[in-house]
Amino acid sequence: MTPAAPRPALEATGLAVGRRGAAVLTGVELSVQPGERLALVGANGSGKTTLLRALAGLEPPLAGALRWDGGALPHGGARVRAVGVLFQGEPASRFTVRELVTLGLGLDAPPSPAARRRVDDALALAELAALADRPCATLSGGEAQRALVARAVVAAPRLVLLDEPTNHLDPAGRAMVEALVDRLRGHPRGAIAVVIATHDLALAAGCDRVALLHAGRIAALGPPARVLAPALLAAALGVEVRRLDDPDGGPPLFRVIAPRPRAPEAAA
Amino acid sequence: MKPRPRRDTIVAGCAVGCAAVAVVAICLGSTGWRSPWAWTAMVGELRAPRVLLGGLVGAALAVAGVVMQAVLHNELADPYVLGISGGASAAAVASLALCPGLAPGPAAAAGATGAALLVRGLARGPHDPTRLLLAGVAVGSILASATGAILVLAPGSQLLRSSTSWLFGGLGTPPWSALVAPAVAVGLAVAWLTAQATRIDRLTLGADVAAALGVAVARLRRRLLIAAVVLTALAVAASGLIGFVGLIAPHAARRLVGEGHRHLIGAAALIGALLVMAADCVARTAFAPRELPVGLVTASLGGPLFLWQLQRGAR
Amino acid sequence: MAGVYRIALAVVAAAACSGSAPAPRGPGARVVSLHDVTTELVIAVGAGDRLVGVADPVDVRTDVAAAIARVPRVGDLESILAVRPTIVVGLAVVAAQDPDLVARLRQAGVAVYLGDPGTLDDVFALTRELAARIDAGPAGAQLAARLASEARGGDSAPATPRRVRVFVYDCCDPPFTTGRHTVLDDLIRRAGGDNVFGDLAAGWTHVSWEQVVARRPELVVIHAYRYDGQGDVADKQRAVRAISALAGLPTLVIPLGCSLGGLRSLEGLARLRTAIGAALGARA
Repeated sequence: MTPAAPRPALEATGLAVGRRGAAVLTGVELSVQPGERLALVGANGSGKTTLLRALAGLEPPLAGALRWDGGALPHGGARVRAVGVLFQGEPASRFTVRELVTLGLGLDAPPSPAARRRVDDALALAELAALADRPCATLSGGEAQRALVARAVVAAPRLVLLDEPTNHLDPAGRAMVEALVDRLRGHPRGAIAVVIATHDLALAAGCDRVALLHAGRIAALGPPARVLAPALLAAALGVEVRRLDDPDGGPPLFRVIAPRPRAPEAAA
Repeated sequence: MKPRPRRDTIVAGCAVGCAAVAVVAICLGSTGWRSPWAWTAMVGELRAPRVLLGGLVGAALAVAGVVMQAVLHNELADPYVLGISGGASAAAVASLALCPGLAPGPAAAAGATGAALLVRGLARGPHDPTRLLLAGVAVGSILASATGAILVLAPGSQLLRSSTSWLFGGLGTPPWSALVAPAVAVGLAVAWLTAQATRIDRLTLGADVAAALGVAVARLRRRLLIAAVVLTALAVAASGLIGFVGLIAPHAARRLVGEGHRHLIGAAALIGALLVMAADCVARTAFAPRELPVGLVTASLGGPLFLWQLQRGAR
Repeated sequence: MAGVYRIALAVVAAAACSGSAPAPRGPGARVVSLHDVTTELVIAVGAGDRLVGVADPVDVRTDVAAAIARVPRVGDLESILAVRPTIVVGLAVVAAQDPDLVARLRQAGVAVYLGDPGTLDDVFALTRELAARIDAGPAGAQLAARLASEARGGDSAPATPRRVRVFVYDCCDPPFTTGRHTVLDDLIRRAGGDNVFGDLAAGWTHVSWEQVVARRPELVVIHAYRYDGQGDVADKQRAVRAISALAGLPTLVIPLGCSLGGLRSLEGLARLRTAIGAALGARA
């Protein structure tokens, strides 16, 4: 018997999420396959972070169902093997890089040699091996961000959720994080699904699918070529965007021309 | 791996230092040096139980400080911060005023616990360290003024005298039986907290991150706060308000063994014990035959220590 | 007429504004006493009729308590001034508890006299001086002389072979005791004893049990705050007995009233003589 199609790493049906009882997004239908990279794009306040928190199991949804790998999110030590997260605004901790990444394993006891090897692998993936024993507070923005991504993936979770991973990073830092996310695809422990909430249209363009959030719903969901169209972006982000496709077949470039004036009669 | 044995060695070093200070503190007193090999009543009755109780109190306060700092995400939190010092002093002074012959310890412990519960009740809702600290300051100052009112309004000058001894922290002359409860509490607390160490580490990263890393955040916080309040209440019952130890010992321990709570708890306990035993020794001998309250000595050690840390650019 | 006279007196008192302003003479002397010691002295020199206000008595003899039963109780500035005194008397501890009060009284033109006896001789001097200021000078001198001879009376006994070491326990842990410059220390010395902490220049101070044990006292004086011996005495005796080296020693209860430096100091002296004599006899 042929193996059944792999269960989606994440499946949301009829999902409504919100803050303090007020719905921010409704009618979310999502299915993320193992190894897939999905970008969430939308203006500030469109609900990207709220959705990610629900996908991470931190807030119960207001309506609808969420399934991770076909079932509920486990508690305790098994949680880190199901979902890895990177949220914004985490203050620099005084742990060393190695200690921080080790915490991502969610262990109650000191790490075994096998666990320590996993940590080394994650550090290598994030190119942080040389900085492993430095306190996180002494790292640059990009290095700290990579450390947090390494922590999110060290337990080889089926699903990784990243909230604005390239925010506040200089071009070198941004390039390193993009490369790291790239490398997750070929992770030795199996395909890791990645959901990235981002303003960075270039990063979104490099993903497999993009979900465009606007007016409390997912306005568009599909390959970046289709979703990241100037017309859709103008409506969702409120900016005039010019898109320049790369003749070499790489991801397209985006140039923001001007904020679109919000005329009262303009249709969404 | 290189870092881990180094940390275990440091903690072992702290244990050795702590034991050495204990021996010196037992040998040295206001009547001079007496060898503990000649176990006289002087040493066995008047010095040894007091020194060892001081060690237990220091350990309890240090561990409570570490836990408070983890739960409140604030390195300047000390064990008394949730209105505990106010509650303990008000209850102790009331007990001294109403029943002068009764030791104020149990009343102080009850007052400490009551104040902590009140603060937790006032800061109801999702855990917010700022609200907790504010409620603690409010309750603490109301209770401190109640303490002052009792001292001023109650008749008789003896109340002032016995209250001062208690408020500034003093170990008195405890019987050996007084060590049992603190020893059990400190032992259990250190064991349990060390077992929870990685969970506490994850907690310090933030509630969301901790939850995402598999920690039952609300439950852990509750248990940690209970542990901190119990340890502080026992310390206060034994020795009155000894300040600074709950702040300095965690700080010093962090500099020695880093952030990981697996070593931090033990190191802080040992450093706290060492500090109080040393301070008590100074309190007994510096102005012999007169005796200072221990809390005065810890405060006068603590202030300059902090200044020195500031100078070194402690960050 | 009387009102004008009082105002004139007040002006004179205010003009000579220092602690040792001469007392107003004549029938107008109105005395407020803020301390049990001075209350007892005022009654003892027969000037009880001049007493217009007293602080709430803490621990006075029953006859004194009866004598002041009708006298209004005062405490703060307002209540004191309400009885229109010409002189306020007390001990130095009154000023220590409320420094403002003394200054305000003087500003209001009231004479203030606070004694601070450190020895039994100071008590005799206090008696004389106080009486002089409330216009009972002769009676005061007489009383002082009588007290002095009473005190000496005991001294004429054959000199004791040696001094008994005495430890005074007031309260608390670490123990609170008296050093050199207090009335109780003086009484102990006159009674043939030797305060084990008499070398301390401080007044009342905290020491350590270790020091107490090291100085090997032979008699423990419990400084009680309740004259009738209830309440705190049992607790204090328990505290002393908890120290094994002190558990078997004889104890003597001296109430606060006997150690403050007033009339009852003589009573304290008598008790000490008896107890010290007994301790010597027991050791002989």
